Amino acid sequence: MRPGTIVVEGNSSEVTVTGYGELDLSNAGELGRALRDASETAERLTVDIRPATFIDTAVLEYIARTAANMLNRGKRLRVLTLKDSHPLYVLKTAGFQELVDIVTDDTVVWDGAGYAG
Amino acid sequence: MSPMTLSFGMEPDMPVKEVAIEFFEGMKDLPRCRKTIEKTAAEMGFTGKDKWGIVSAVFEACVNAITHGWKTPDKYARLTIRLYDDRLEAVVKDHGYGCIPSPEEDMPPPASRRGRGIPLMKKFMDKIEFDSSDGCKVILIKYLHGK
Repeated sequence: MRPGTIVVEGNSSEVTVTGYGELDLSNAGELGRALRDASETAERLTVDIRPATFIDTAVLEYIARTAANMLNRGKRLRVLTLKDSHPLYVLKTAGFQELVDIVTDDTVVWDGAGYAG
Repeated sequence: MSPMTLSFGMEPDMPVKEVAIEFFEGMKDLPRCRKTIEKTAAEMGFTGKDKWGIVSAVFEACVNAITHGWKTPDKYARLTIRLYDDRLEAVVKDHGYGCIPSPEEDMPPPASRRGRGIPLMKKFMDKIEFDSSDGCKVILIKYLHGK
């Protein structure tokens, strides 16, 4: 899977948006659009950044916007990360645990080319 | 874009290594910029959260330089990383207009959409200096533990 790839899965009520590799200002626009669209209708929305090895403040901005959209609809965004990862460190340093439900899950590991069990 | 590496002697407080990158292609340079920061920080012995913090902080400064510096006619933006015996020093320079943050610029509330770049730089690095006397220059310093 190419870095910056975004995969959207689910149905109208439950959606997971997964981001792969290094996500930054140069390639995270698609992530932002996918999250914006899903946050308008989904009952339950998860952004899975376990396969992401890096996120910058552009990604934080998209997550913040999405979380605000969900909160306006009385729901909370769920963010799935690896326990010992750059994305989790950045999210916590920026105080996002107050804004979103951060769930750490190491049961699935991305090896750089795709998910490896 | 190809990083230029210059090595120096071990004189007191002289850099033992210097790596420089000019951003000729703007955003397209970002992946190699990030890899250079990470490789250089690792080479000096930074690991784990210290290394992640350096990569994030210096990367944010580079994004700002490309975003603002590329608005000027010469599109000048450059990253220089110097390794000293006790610290890593990154200098990010562009010819944009002004970059002095307000002293009280702290991390915005999580729901804020913008304004996290400089607060994160402050949290991740030991020292940051801004100089807008000739374009914009940001100096980011991280000390090795125990030095």
